Amino acid sequence: MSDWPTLPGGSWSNGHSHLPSPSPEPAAADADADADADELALDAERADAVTLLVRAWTGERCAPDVRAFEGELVGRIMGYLDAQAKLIGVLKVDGASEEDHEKIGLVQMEMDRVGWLLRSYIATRQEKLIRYAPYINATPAMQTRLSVAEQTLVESYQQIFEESLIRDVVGNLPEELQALDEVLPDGRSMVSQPDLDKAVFIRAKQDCGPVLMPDGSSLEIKKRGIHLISYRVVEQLVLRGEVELT
Amino acid sequence: MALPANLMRSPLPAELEFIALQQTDILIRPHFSMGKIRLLSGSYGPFRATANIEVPLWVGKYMKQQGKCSLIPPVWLSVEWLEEKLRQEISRPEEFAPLPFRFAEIAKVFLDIAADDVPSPERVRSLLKDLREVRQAKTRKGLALLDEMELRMTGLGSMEINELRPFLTRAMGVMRVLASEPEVPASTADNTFVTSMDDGW
Repeated sequence: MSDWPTLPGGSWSNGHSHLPSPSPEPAAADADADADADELALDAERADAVTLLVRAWTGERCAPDVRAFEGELVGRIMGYLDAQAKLIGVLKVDGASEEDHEKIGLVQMEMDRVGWLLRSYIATRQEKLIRYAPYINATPAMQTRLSVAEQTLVESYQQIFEESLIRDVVGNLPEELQALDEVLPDGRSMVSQPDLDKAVFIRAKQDCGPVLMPDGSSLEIKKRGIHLISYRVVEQLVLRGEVELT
Repeated sequence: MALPANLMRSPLPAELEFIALQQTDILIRPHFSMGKIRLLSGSYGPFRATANIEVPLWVGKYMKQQGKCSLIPPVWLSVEWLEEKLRQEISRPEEFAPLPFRFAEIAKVFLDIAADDVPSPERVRSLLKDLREVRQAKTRKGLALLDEMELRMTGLGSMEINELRPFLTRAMGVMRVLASEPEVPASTADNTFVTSMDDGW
């Protein structure tokens, strides 16, 4: 066989074909053609689903707080993986030619690679979710960034953690020492929060307007510029995709 | 499983290499023929023996390791290009010569698995090392400019950034605490009791 056929959608699909078409995917191309052109000029990167996942992974790994879950993207990629796995199954049953073996090898290797990226992306989020569980549970704005499964995780984690803490430690202390959300006079809190002022490395994908610095001065961020800067200052640029965490 | 805390500080070099393998397209010269193949990152082929074709670096690495193709090094991975950049790097002490963002990762893959496809690989290797040393010296000088607000590092590669990341983010955090008003000691900082213990400096 000379080409991979497309399979009908699995549970994650929305009815469109799963396997990427030869040209860049139509869905990705119409979104912001300008940004894509810039991207090409900058580092000749593609705009396919795996590239988007790489970006999500890098962003999550570098950002001090929990970013919005890329549910649509993750679903789409799970759909692709599903379809490719089925295809390999079919090919193996039918008895594959030598050429098909070569293709199966490549497809399996890509599935392993993408699977690793997905797991690492989710694991990175989980580390932050567990670290900041009490803060997230107390902050509705943070919860909107989580998937349903992640919300369940954060809630049950905090519940189990506090039960155990109270049973084994805090419950045996005098009552005035039992709080789990105390703020010390020096400003330290028992509820840890993401440090939004943490310095991050950014790489500008385009010229950005002047950015207001905490001391009132302004900073010009030029295309291709790489800066070490407080996350809080550039958070909006990151969300708009004008700069990338790196 | 949540990611181990030590990996949260900075990606590993191996992880950056993984990303470079994924995101870089290179030319290969196949030693075999194969029809078009559709992968998640795009469609590639048909492959014809001795006709150069563009594929992701990981595909090239996979085929090269099976002896099924030769890799064609990018223009910048050559003695002439690197010598020119080294000259530039030395003659302009104020800025980093523009190299591809992932040059270190890509060069490593080529020299590891396809040294026979790179002309004078030993010279390329030593030029890359020289470049690295000149650039590191610049970085060290640049550290004097570090304050609690911002540091411009345009021209650095992804591997160089990663190398500096743990030290610089930490240093900037400390400078921020020192610069803030003494009666408001870093109230927004990530202050679990646990992390503040191993954060002692």
